[in-house]
Amino acid sequence: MEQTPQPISPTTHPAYNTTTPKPKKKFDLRYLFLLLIFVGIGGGIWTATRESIQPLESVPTPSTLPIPTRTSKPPIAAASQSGYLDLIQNVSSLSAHISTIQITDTTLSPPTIELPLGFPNE
Amino acid sequence: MIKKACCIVLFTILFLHPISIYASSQSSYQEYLIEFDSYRATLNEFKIARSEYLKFKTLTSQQSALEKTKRMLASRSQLLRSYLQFLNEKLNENASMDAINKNLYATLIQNEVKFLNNHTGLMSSISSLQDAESVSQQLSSHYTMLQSTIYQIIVGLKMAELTAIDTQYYELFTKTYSFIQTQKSSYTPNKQSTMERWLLQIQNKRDLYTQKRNDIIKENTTLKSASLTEIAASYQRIIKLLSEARQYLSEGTSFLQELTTSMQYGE
Repeated sequence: MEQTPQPISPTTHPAYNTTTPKPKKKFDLRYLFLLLIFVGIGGGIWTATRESIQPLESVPTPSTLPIPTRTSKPPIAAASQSGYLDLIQNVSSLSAHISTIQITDTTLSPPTIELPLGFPNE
Repeated sequence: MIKKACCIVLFTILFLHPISIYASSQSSYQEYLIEFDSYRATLNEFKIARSEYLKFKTLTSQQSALEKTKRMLASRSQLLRSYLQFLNEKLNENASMDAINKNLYATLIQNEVKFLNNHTGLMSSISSLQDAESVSQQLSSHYTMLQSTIYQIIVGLKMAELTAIDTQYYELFTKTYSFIQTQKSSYTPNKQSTMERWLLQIQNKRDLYTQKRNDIIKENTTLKSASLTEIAASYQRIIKLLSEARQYLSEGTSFLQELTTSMQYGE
């Protein structure tokens, strides 16, 4: 039985409609994975470098208040005389002496003794 | 040659005098501590012997208790005497106490030592536990008086120290006042008024000290109380007052230091 060639039917190609959206390509999750790895490595490096940096010294906030400075006042003539110097010396030694005084001197505490003997009266 | 030898001897006496005073107080304190240790040991032995006697009531335990009691009573009396001796040395050392108070306290100590000597003399006559009880009772009935005397002397010693400081304080205050008066022209009017205000504050501290001193003297008389508890409470109050008095003098001296430092400048 001989096969007769079938007439090729004219194929009708579907005409592409330009208005219809192209089918989107699916986002490859591997890129996201890679991105996360890079972010992780970057974060690690940043943290490591941040720790190694010395903390900056705190800079005081500039104050508008004037800083008190010791004005060099001229001393009176009698300040260099022995009377004044002796007075200063004596006041200092009295102050030092007061600080050494102990009101509660434990060595002076009287001894504690037991008085009743505790024998029954017979 | 003889002159030279006399000089050396005199110099040695003068040089060693303060050391010997210090040593006498120190040595009497050491003796007191030894007596305290001895008393503790005899007290422990007495307690053991007493509990054995109270438990067994045998003649042997009674004899042992009597011996240990006599030993403990002697040690107790000796401890008090050595403490009074130490207190007497402290009194002798105190250069700031006036002669009247020193003599008064020395007499009080002598009377107490006499009492304790008599008390120790009675111990040879103890032949039973009842005797021991009555001898011990003699000290018990006198003990309040003894405690009162001891605390009065301790307060007197501390008060003498503060009085000496107060005298020095007042002397320096007067000198400071005189200095300001003589150098008045060197200071600006503003500085003068500031210094006068400070002088008043220094004077005020001394007045507060004087008030406390009077309170101490008043409280010290109540030390002659009837009970040991009252004496102890009164002594604690005096210690508090002494601390406050010392604090006023300390604050006043601090003010005086500030004033004298400031006095060197005219403005």
